[in-house]
Amino acid sequence: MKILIIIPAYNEEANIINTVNKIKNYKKYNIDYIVINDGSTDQTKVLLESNKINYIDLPYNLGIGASVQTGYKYAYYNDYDIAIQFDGDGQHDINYIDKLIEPIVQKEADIVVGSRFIDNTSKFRSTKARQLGINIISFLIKMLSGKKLLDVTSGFRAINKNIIQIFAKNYPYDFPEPITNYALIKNGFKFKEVGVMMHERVGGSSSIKLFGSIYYMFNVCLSILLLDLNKFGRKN
Amino acid sequence: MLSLNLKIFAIIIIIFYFCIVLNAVHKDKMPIKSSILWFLIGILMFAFILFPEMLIKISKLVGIETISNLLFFCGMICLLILSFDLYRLNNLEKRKSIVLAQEIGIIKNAINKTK
Repeated sequence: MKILIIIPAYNEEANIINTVNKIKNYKKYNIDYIVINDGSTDQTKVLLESNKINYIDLPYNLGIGASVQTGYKYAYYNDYDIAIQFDGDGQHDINYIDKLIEPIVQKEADIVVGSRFIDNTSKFRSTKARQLGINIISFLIKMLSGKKLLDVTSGFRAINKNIIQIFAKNYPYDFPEPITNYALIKNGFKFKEVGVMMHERVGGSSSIKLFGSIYYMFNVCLSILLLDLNKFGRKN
Repeated sequence: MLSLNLKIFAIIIIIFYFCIVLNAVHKDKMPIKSSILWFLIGILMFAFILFPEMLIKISKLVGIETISNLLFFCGMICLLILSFDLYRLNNLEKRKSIVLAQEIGIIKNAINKTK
C-alpha cells in the first residue's frame, strides 16, 4: 500500500526540517512524503534544497487550499493509495499517523480526521475565539447533515484513493477543511474522527490569526450554506 | 432637444470612441468577439444623439421623469453588468493560472528527480 504525507509549507524555515526528519524517522509504515513550498519568501526553499528533501516548488504563493491540492495531484499522478495532510509547523504528531491510517486500511472509513476534541488526548486546543468558531461551524454541519463532527478545521487527515482522485480534480481554495468535510459527508463517504495529540506551533505564525477567527467563522458558515449551489457540494 | 453645437460635439466624441475601439481590435489588444459589445454601445449612443426623442419615449415608458435620470440609471446598470463580467472572467483566469502553477511545480519536481 502506497502512503504519502503532504506537507504544505509557507515561510516555515523554523520548523520544516524538524517536521520532515520526524517523518523520515517514522518506521511503523513505509511512508513517502512531499513538501509543497508555497512561494515562501524566507529560507524554506534553500533549506529544502540543501537537505535533499523531496519537494514541489510552487512559482508563487497560491494559498493553503491550492497548495494542499498540489499534493493531492502529486498523489493521484503517482498512484498513491492513501494521502495524509500534515502541517509543516510542528503542530501535528507523527506518532498518531497509524491511528489515522488504520480505519482506511480496514476499509472502515474513506476519510479520517485527527481531532483535538476526542479522548482529551490533546492538551493544545487552540484559542478560545477559534474554539467558539469551530463549535458554531460544527453545530451548523450537524444541523445540515445530521453528523456530529468535532474538529471541523483540523488539517491533520487521511483520505483513500477515491477521495485523492476527487481532490486532485476539484478542491476548494478557501476554507478547504470544513467545506470538504461537509461535502464528503453529504456525498455519503464514510467519515471517521480519531483523537490525536496536537502541539502548539514551534515558530512562525499561523495562517488564521486571532482577530480573523470571527471573520473566518462567518465565511465558513456562509460557504457551507451556499455549497449546494457549488459543483463541489452537489451529489455525484 | 439637443442644440446643433452639442450634437456636433457629442458626435466628435463618439467618432473618437469608435477610433479607440477600432484601434484596439486592429492592434490585437481586444478580440473581435468582445469588441461587438463596445461597438453596440457606440451605435446606441450615436442613435440617441441623432434621435433624442427616443430617450423621451423610453423614459415615459419606464416611468422615469427626467431623461438624465434614465441615462444615469442605464449607465449604472451597464457598469454593474460589466464589472460582474470582469469579476467572473478574472476568477476564471485566476483558477487557470493556479492549475498551471501546480502543474509546473509537479513537473519541476519530476525533472529534479531525474538529475
